[in-house]
Amino acid sequence: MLRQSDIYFGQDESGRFLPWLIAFMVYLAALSIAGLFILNGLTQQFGAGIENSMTIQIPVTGSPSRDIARRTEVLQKLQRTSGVISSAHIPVKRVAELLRPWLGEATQSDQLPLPQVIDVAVDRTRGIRSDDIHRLFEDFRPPIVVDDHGEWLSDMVNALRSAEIVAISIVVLTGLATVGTVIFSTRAGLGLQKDTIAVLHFIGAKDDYIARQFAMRAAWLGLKGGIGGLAVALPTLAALRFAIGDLNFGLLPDLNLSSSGWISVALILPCVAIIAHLTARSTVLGSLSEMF
Amino acid sequence: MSKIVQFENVGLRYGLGPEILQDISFGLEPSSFHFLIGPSGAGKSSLLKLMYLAHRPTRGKVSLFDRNISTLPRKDLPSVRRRIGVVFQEFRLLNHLSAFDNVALPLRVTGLRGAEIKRHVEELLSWVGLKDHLDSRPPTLSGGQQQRVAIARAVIARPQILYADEPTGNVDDRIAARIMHLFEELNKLGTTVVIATHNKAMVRETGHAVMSLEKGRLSLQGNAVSDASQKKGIEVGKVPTRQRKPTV
Repeated sequence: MLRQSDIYFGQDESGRFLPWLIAFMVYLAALSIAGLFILNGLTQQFGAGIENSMTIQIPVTGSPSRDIARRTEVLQKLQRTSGVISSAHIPVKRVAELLRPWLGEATQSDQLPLPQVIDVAVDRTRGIRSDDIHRLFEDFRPPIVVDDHGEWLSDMVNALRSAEIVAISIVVLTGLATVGTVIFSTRAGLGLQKDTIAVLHFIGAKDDYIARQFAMRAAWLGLKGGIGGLAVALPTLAALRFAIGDLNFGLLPDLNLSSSGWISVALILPCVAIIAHLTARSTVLGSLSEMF
Repeated sequence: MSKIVQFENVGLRYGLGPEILQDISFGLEPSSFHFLIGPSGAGKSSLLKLMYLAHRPTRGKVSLFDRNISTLPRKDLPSVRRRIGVVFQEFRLLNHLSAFDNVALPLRVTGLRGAEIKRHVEELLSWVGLKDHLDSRPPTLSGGQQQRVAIARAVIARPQILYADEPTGNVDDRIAARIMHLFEELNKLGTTVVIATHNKAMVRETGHAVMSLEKGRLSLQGNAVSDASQKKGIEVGKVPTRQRKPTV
């Protein structure tokens, strides 16, 4: 059986509000950390997947033989172009599949003039740009369209990285707010316990002995708050995962939280207990050092 | 013989107020027994607070166990305090702890654990007649019982000095006599005892040395010899052979 603490904290109101505040902080931190991992995953997937690729659309002319000739010419010229790693024609069926989320069953119709699509992998370190590709085929009529994914992807990746910074800032701010709350609560507790602390000093207790009792209590309140916060955050994340699942069509990569993300969210619990413990301990030691 | 407690021209004031204690000089020898008397407001509690390290002196020098308290680093205070037992006038027991845990506190803060604490505490609480109240919390005990718990807490760690502030103030004569007997026994075992009291009859009956405080100044009465008196060859009174004498 655990021995009663030497310090009676029952009269300390902070024992009631501190877990609630910490629960709120943990809830925010859990959502932010989960968001951070999802955003980081997105950034990596976008960056690695199509940052170094371009797409060439060759509009149909109405003459199948001319379309095949134009496609062959494009592929041959691309093979000879410096900076182009590879190029491949995407079959019309696959193009139709990719467009189905926007155009529906109309993509199955022969009446819909789907362009021929060439997927091009480029080595940007060799300075190749979409304008260079376009210039190769400037005499084509109707003209080809070159989509450089890198240009709009770099904007998206920058936006995602900004969002990551915001998520990190929220985690840091909730951590600082937790530290501030524990300091305030501990100082209030020290004021209430000054008679007990005096008795403990008179019988020869070291500051560390007293600080340990405040620290253990703060860690326990932190754990209670942390469990409460996670108990709300986990269903929230599960609900978000369910909702995001519906968005998993062609454009968006996998939006699920990775296993390292789940582990990081779970690690909030011991972290908040350790933060509360260390904060309370240093607060008590700092305050007691000013006493005789 | 070196003094276990030594005050040299000690003054104490709280904040910017007047000096509560003025030019206090005396020394207590190991294993001596003293009463500290004086009217209310004379400064008895303040003098005790200086002796049990609740305050540092405003001026002068206080030495305990040959260590200058005025310059003692804060980190060394616990080791000095562990050699001192204090029975507070208002007991200052921790009401949420049992009698057992209150008495065990001075042992716990030294890092002692488990069976050894249990054996010592139960033995001492039996000695003070509270073996049936180990689990009782202070609010459920009578004044006399609380006082005995406070005394047990003060002596459990075998202090070299025991201070008691009005230890018989709230108890009847029978319990007062029992408490005094307890202090006498501790003194026989080598503990230096200082008791602040208003109980003149008790002071007269026991015949121990007396330090008297009046308006913040210390003087000796009865069985005591001052350094100054000794230098002048003046013997103020007879000192019982067992206890040592305070010197002023």
